[in-house]
Amino acid sequence: MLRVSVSQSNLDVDLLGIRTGKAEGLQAISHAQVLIDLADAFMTRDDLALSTARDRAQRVLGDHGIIEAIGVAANFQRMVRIASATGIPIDDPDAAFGQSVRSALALSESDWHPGE
Amino acid sequence: MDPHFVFQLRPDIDHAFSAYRLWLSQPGQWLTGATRIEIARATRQATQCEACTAFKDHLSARSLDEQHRCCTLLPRDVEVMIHRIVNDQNRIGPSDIERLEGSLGPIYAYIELLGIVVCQFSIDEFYRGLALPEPAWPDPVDGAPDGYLPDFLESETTWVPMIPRDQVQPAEADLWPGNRGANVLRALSAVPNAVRCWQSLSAVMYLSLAGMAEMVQPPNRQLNRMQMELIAGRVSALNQCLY
Repeated sequence: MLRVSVSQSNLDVDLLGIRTGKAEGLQAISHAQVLIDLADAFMTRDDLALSTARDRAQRVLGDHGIIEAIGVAANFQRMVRIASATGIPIDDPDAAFGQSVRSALALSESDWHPGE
Repeated sequence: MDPHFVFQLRPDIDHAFSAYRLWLSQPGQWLTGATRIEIARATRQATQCEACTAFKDHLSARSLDEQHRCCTLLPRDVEVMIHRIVNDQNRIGPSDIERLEGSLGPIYAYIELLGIVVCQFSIDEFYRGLALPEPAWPDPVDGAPDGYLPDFLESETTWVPMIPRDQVQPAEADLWPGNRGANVLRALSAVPNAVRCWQSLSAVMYLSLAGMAEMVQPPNRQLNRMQMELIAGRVSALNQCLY
């Protein structure tokens, strides 16, 4: 979905940052590193790290923005578990598009671990 | 943050969470209200299970099942499965689901359980993310499950039966637009109310189905679409979700 929204914005974005957690290629997205840091802190389940990242994000995103950001993060804790706990295969209505996204994320690399 | 402040800014989230708690408390298709609330309680407790954290490095996810911290009235194997959905979801396989039949019932009961676990977990994650106090559990509503099943189900796509894309009956016509039922939409569709429930939560925490198709800044939202997808993508990546 990020690839689709980026393609409609005429911005230059490198999706690999989703995998690496480094926002260099994602600077066209406002506050990209703040959002990645918030997501990372959220996923560590470390209350102090989350509190620090949340305060920082709230300063730049505002009250509405931080509520939305946490809402999206929490929402995708649900969606990944629906997929994993039912074993559904990836839909591929557009094979070329799907391949381009997988290539951009380097998902074919067998030794990938998130955060590396 | 103060929950009153949060829900004053976003009353739609408050309403959706309240609707979820009402749904949770009622008899479902295969589970009683009391069992459904126990499933939700086990979901919340699972995040505190030290064994779950320790087991992530073990080669066999099931080798140390006896050490999970179980503290609800559910059968132990059911509660351990909830722990795995919450903490070790990538190693769940079809045989894990089949093993539950003796203590949980037909596979539709697993689908209903999964619907509750994922909805409860995402709500609890919202509260955790904003440092909000967790709300109290609702009282269960008496009554028997209705055993409802959609007219057509297929079991060829994955481990659980799902409504075929092209055989949606009028009773389930609201689950997805036309015949564009992505697998993640269909995954829980043998228990249609579970799909409706998570879609209601998604509509306020992320986007509605219609909103997902609009690749622009959602109305009345502070974050633009790329910012939302960046968070979604990073959380999914950290969950090692390739879907």
